[in-house]
Amino acid sequence: MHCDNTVHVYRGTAPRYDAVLLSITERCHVGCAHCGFIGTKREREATLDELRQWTGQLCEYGIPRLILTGGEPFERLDAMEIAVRTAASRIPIVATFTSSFWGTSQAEARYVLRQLAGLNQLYLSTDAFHQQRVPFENVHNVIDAALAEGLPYITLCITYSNDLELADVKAHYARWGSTVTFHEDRVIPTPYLSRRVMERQASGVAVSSSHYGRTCYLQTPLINPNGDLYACHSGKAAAHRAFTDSPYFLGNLREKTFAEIVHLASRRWDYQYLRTQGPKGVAELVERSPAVLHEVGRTEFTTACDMCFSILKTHAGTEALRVQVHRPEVQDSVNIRLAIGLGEDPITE
Amino acid sequence: MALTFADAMRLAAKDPKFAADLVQNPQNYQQTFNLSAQQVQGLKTASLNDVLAHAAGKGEAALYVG
Repeated sequence: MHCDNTVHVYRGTAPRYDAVLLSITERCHVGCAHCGFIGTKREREATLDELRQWTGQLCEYGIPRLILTGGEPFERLDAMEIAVRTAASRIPIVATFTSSFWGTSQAEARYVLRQLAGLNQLYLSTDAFHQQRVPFENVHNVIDAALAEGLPYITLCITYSNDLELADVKAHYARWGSTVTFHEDRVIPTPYLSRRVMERQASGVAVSSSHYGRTCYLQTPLINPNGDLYACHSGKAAAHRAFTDSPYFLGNLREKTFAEIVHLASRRWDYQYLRTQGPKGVAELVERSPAVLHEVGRTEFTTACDMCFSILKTHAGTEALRVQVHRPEVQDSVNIRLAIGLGEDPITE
Repeated sequence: MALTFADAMRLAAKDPKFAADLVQNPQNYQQTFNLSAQQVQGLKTASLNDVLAHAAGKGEAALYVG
């Protein structure tokens, strides 16, 4: 193996991230049956000034991709405009999620997109759940409008219950060929989803470290509308209950800057364990302490995120993590992956 | 003062060529950095391709919206 071409990318002390999710609002009038926000008040909002400040901090940090999310970001077009304007030309990729509810015609969709000059990627949620509320035609309009406006990246995000459902949704986009890309994920079950939704789910997989990799969405932290910064999109669960005592919580942007929070977090073994060991590392916790699953209440999971979050939201899960990261060989492994994999300084006591 | 595992990691974080060689041939650095047998084994176990999956950006941006 030729060294110069294999160890590369980032050499620095601060954590490197692939992207940051900025939740503009928790509001969404669409009301999909599989939504993780079912059962919450969805009342948290950032002010326009906060969104400008937080986006500016992400620019200064050097984030390569900003992803606006929600809720439904297009419920607050004024907030989106500020975030996109602040990030444009300072962050290479500025993206947003949307249900495409606003794409009632191609002309309307083009009009809306023109308010967001600098946006260059769309993640369009499209699946059996969204399309019970928003016609496929809206998504089609947004795709055509985005292409007409020169947006280079369009990703269709399909959350599915089973393979048949996935194939059916994808068939609605055959005519765009490779112009669009797909991202597919299983539904993440929550106690708030209806029995009708849960009955459609294909079975999950049992916890085994051989099923999972060490990389996942943990290189993409999430900022909630109240300023809480979480290690990944699992932080959206904080809409249900206080979640600041979980290993996913990093800090609050109303109290410290993004750079200050992630610098402090980068010295935490629990956080760096999750970043460097990923879902495989969480599965290894269960293999060392199988009793952890008793508190979880189930043994099969749809996705890696479902597995990790279900385990780490329990007391038994966080305790198993606390014990795991005190083991010297585990700390060595975290440091090896930080230094050699990510080019970041090791944690030293 | 004797060099340690942490020194090796700090150097690896800054020097890609050293990092690659360290994970491929850890025994060559055992004396220099006073690596324990467990640490040498840990470096051997962390295969280069596996470790570098992080650096190659294979951890996708978060796409889950709900």
